[in-house]
Amino acid sequence: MPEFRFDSFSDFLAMGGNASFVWGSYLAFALVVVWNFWQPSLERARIVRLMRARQGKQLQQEATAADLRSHQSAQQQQGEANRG
Amino acid sequence: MSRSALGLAGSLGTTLQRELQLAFSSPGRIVNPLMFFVIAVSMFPLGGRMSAEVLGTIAAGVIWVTALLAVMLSMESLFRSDFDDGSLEQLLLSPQPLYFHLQVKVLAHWLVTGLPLVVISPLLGLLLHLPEAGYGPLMLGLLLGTPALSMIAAIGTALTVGLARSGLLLAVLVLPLSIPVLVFGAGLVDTALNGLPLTGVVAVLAALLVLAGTLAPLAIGAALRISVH
Amino acid sequence: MWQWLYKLGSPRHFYEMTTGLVPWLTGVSLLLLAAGVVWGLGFAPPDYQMGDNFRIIYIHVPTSMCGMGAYVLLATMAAMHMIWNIKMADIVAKVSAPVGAAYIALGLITGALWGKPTWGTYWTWDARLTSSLILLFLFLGVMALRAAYDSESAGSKAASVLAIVGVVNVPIIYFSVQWWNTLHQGTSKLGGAGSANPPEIWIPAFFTGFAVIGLFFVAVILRSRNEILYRERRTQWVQDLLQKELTHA
Repeated sequence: MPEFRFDSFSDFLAMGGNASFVWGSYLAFALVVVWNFWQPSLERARIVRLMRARQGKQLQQEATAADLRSHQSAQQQQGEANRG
Repeated sequence: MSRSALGLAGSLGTTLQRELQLAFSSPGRIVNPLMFFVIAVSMFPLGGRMSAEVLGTIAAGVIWVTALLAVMLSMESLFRSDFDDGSLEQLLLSPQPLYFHLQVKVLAHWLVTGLPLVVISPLLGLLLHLPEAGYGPLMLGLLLGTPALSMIAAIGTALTVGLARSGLLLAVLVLPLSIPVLVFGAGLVDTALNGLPLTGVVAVLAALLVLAGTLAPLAIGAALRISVH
Repeated sequence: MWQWLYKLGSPRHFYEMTTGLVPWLTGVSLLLLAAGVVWGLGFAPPDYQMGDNFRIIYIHVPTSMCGMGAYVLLATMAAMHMIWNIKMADIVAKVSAPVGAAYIALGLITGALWGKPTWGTYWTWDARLTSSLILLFLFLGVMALRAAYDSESAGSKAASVLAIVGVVNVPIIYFSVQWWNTLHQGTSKLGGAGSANPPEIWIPAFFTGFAVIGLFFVAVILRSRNEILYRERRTQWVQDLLQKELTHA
């Protein structure tokens, strides 16, 4: 079983005097790893939003079309009533 | 020689003639790359106070990088007018073999834009205090290297000819691809200044030229087909 | 096997097949990563020459190598797209470029951070460093070219041609930079981890190595899935899929 190579936690953080280099490298790596998960989830949310907006617009269009139709038929009925 | 081979040679001769005529009818095509080459190189010593010795050591690199940029920038016009007036589309549809046509077209363009750079390079060597032993290798290297650079740059031109603004993008695409030519071209001068044998480096430069001359037309053709459609 | 590969070439099948794969691959990669990083940072014995600085190697080597592999993947996919016109190959080519570029950049950054305390300089024009830098440029060029086209199909074909030209060039670039390096002697050679090292040193490198490759593929798959959803947004199966998701949420 390998043993812990540092005497204390602060010793571990100091990395034998190379703290900024070692931790900087691991930080840069962590940023890329996080970004590789974050970017796809942001992108996916964007696509879902886009599609929901389009679907909403479509529904709205259908609704206005239906509205127009009922309006027209109402007008028609009214016209017929006037004639009659 | 069969008749079709003769026909091919004839049509290639026509292509070459047409390209050269075009170039001489607008002298800017020849003069502009040359002016760029001379002016850009003379900027370097003004960029910092450098001793003649320091200038001499960077001379080959400066001249080569500037030649690379000059070749690349001059290539932008290679397919531009053909693309705009639709003759490029005709060329892609014509029964004439595209591969050889493209080779000749790039070669003609190099004769007009690249060869003058080779001829004037000793003058720039003089401006940058290039040691005497470097002049021959500089010219020989440019003679072998600039046509290879033209071939490589033509790939980038073909990929971007359909785009509205392509200048900077062309540089981003072409510069990394031309590094081997640059390394061995400028390296030839260094080799000579170090008193080492030149044959190996010259052979590599020649090999790069052959490689670029045979493979690049394939890529240029594929790229043009994409750009036109 | 062939049928499986054939199915993978269809965006819809790719999407459905990877749905179950992603959590597994992510979990295994993160576990390997945690094990490798903890071991490498805390338990591997310090190098007698480089001290604790060598611990950077555990991420530097895998990210650099994976970045190079990513370019080969990109070029292979580009060739498949050009020759057989496989849609899925183009999607993978497109999404592997930014991930590979990030890995190569990471390799360069960690290399610089390793080089400073080890040789006293962040950067040297060593053959391997220079080739990695040029590879990053090639990645950026492919991405820039694709982005410059308004038409998705023309942009993808143009980027494919450039990627293939680039991969032909990579060995020549490496060879030329190496030759150039011998001409300008004075740069020290990168000391790789020799085989004489005890297992405590190289086992964590295996862990982080597989973790880095696993995470690369997770990123490529996740991005590919988004690209599939976007490109196939007008098809019924995507509409149904998102509908299900919306009602769930």
